[in-house]
Amino acid sequence: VASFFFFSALRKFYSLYPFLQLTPEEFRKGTKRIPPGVYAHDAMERNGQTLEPQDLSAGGLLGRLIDTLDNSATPFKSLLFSLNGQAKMVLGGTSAPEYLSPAGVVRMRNFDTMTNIVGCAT
Amino acid sequence: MDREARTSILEADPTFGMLRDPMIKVAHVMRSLEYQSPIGREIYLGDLMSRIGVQAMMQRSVFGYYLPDFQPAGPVMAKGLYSPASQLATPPMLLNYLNGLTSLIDNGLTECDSGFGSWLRDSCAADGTLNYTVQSSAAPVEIVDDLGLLLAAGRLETPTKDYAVSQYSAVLNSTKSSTLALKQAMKILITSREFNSNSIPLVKNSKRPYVAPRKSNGRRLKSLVVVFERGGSDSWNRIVPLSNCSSKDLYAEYAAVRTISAIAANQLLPITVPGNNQPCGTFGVHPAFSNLQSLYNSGDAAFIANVGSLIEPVRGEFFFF
Repeated sequence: VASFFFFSALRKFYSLYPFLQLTPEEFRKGTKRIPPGVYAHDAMERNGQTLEPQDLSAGGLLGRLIDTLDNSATPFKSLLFSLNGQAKMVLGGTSAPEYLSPAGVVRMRNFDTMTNIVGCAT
Repeated sequence: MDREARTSILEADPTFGMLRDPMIKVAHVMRSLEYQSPIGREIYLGDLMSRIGVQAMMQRSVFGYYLPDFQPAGPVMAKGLYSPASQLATPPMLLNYLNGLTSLIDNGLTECDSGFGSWLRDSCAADGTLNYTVQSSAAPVEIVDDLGLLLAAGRLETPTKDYAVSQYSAVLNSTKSSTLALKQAMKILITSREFNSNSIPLVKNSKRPYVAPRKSNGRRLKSLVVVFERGGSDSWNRIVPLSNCSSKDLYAEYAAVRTISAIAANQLLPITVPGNNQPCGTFGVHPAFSNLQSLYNSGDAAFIANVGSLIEPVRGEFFFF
C-alpha cells in the first residue's frame, strides 16, 4: 500500500506526519522543525521523563501521575518511591517522593545526640 | 577579584549563593581541621559515590554529579532559579554525609562506624585523624569563633554560634574533656546552615507543614515499577522483524539497511505475536535479552516501539487547536 488516510478528526496528527521523516540534509540546513533537544542526550532523557519537551520546567511523569491519583474523584492512597534520587521523573508532584538508598536503610549515627544537633543547628 | 565581587552584601541577595558540593565539604573539613596520617598515608576515601553522590572520577555523565539545570520544588523553582547541588539532598545521602563526617570527627578516617574510610583496611584503625586543637585556656566563644572562621568563613549567625557555645560548655562541664567538647562543637558546625551553603541563611521560626497521609479506601494494593534506562539504546536491534511478515521480507529489508550492524536471524530470540494486527507474526529479540523474551512469553512484558519527542505539546491544557 502506497497511501494511507488519517481519520478526519485527527487533523493535527495529520499535520505532524511530514515531520516524522527527517533527512540528514534537512537536519543540517534546519529546514524542517524537529522536537526540542533532539539528539542531545541530556535533553532527550529529560523529555523522556516529563513527556513535555516544550517545557523545560515541566514536572516529571510519575510526579504528575501521583497527583492525578491523589486528586481523582475517589482518591487513591498513593506513594512514590525513588531508588535513583531526585530523578526528573519523580518530581513535579505536590508531595515529595520517598527516597530509598539502593544499599538499604540508612540509619543516623548517634541518633540520640545528632537529632538534637540537627534540630537546633539547621 | 574586584571589590564589588567580594562584597558581603552579595550574600544577602536571595538569588545569590548555593548549596555546597558534598565532596568540597568533606575536603574542607579535612583541610581546615588539619587531617593528618601519622605514617603519611595517602588519603583514600571509600565508596562515596553511592553514599553522598560524589566521588573523584566517578561522575555519571559529562554533566557531572548533578544536572546544571536542576530546580528543587519550592521557592527556588517558583523564582525560576537553579540549585544543582540540591539534587543530591535526599534523606539517605544527607544521613550518609552526616554519618561520615561525624565518624571522621569521632574516630578519624576509617570505614567502621559509618566512616568514609577505605574498605580495604582489615581493622577499624584510622588512617589518620583531625589534628585541630585549641588552647585549654581559650573561652568557649573564642573556640567557636575560630571554628566558625575555619568552616564558615566567619559567617556564623548568632543562633548557631550561641548553640555551639552552649553545647561546648555543656559537654566540657559534664565530661571535663575539652577534646569531647571540641568534637561536639565541630559536629554542630558541620551541620549548620552556614557551613552547608554560601549565602546568608534565612531562618524561619515555623516548622514545615505536616501533610497527613491519605487514608486508604480499602482497595487492593497495586504497584507500578518504572526502570528508566539512561544512555542510548539501539532500539532497532532490540526487537527486529523476523518472519511471517505477510508478503514482504522485512528481515531482509532490516539486514540491508543495518548492514554490518544487523543481527543474524539465527541469533535472534524469536517471539510470536498473536493476531494479525502487527507487521509480522514473529519478531526477534536481541540475543542479550533472553530475560525479556521470557517475560514476554509469560505475558509480563510488552514492546512499545517508535516512541520519541514530539514537536508539539502533548498535554491537553497546552494544546490549542
